[in-house]
Amino acid sequence: MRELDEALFLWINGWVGKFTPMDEVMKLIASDYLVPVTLALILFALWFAGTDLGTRERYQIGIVVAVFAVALANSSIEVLNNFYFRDRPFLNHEAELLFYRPTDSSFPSNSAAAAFAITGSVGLFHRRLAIVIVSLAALYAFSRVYVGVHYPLDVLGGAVFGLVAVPIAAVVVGVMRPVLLLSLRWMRLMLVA
Amino acid sequence: MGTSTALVSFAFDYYLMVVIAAAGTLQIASVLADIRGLLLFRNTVVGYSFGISLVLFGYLLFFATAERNVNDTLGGLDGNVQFVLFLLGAITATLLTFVVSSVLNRRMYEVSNVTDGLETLRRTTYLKAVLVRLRSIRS
Repeated sequence: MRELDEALFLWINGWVGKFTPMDEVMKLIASDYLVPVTLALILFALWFAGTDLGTRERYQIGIVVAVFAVALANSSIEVLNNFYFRDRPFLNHEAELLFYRPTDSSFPSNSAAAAFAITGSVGLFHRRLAIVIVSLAALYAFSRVYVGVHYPLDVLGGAVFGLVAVPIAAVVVGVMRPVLLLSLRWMRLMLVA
Repeated sequence: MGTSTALVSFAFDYYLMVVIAAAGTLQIASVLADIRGLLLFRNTVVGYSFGISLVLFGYLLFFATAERNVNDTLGGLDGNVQFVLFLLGAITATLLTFVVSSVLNRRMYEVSNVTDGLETLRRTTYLKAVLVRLRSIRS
């Protein structure tokens, strides 16, 4: 499995330098800011976007699920990395690096976990939008392999962490629902929800 | 430039991008949800295009002005700082939109019932709705 993962990494990362515009696009997509900010802006838009009170409330609760899911996925990864550490691919292979040199564990990918936690959460309340977001998350995950900072299994593992966090976050938010509804009611009085 | 100075500059650039892009996103969402009290343009096509332009301008301002692939140990932003700055930027953009749209749409009708949150802003501006709310609390 590990050999296959490394071979796949070398194949994908081997495209670097063959078509410079593609390298620049991948560098931009793999950035720590472009896709995360875009996903956060989508959640921000959903806060306002419902066409009626009921839909908007459903979206707003979904946004809280997304925030919880991201926090849960990333803290689980932090705990896991106290016991398991995988070197970044550029440390053990002749990789073409288009990114800075991260020092934390390669497996699982935090970025992929966050992106897929948001995707999964949006999927709970807006299926059509989730299809768009999943493409963005997948492209983000792929770009991290392309630029040389992750193995394919790292981003796959991150995606699993993110997606598994969603139902757990949904249950937690479900338990907190009365408090959440009260907060939303208060925010509606302030005309911000 | 020291790491802390670089971090502050980077954080400010990020915050500025979020404010601009979130203001644009709010315009797009307001067009889609027909929240007329938050629109900066009466024409929805213009409003939608303006929103998209603001988002793209925010991104351009951030990504085209400096190298952004920087490790958080060398002046980049870690996930927690990004979260806080995003929240602050989104709140700033919302408040700015509330004020500017209230000034631009000052001729909108004043409603008597403001109990249903953002729904109210389909019919009136934020500042007018707040005034009605304050009057109803006093009486």
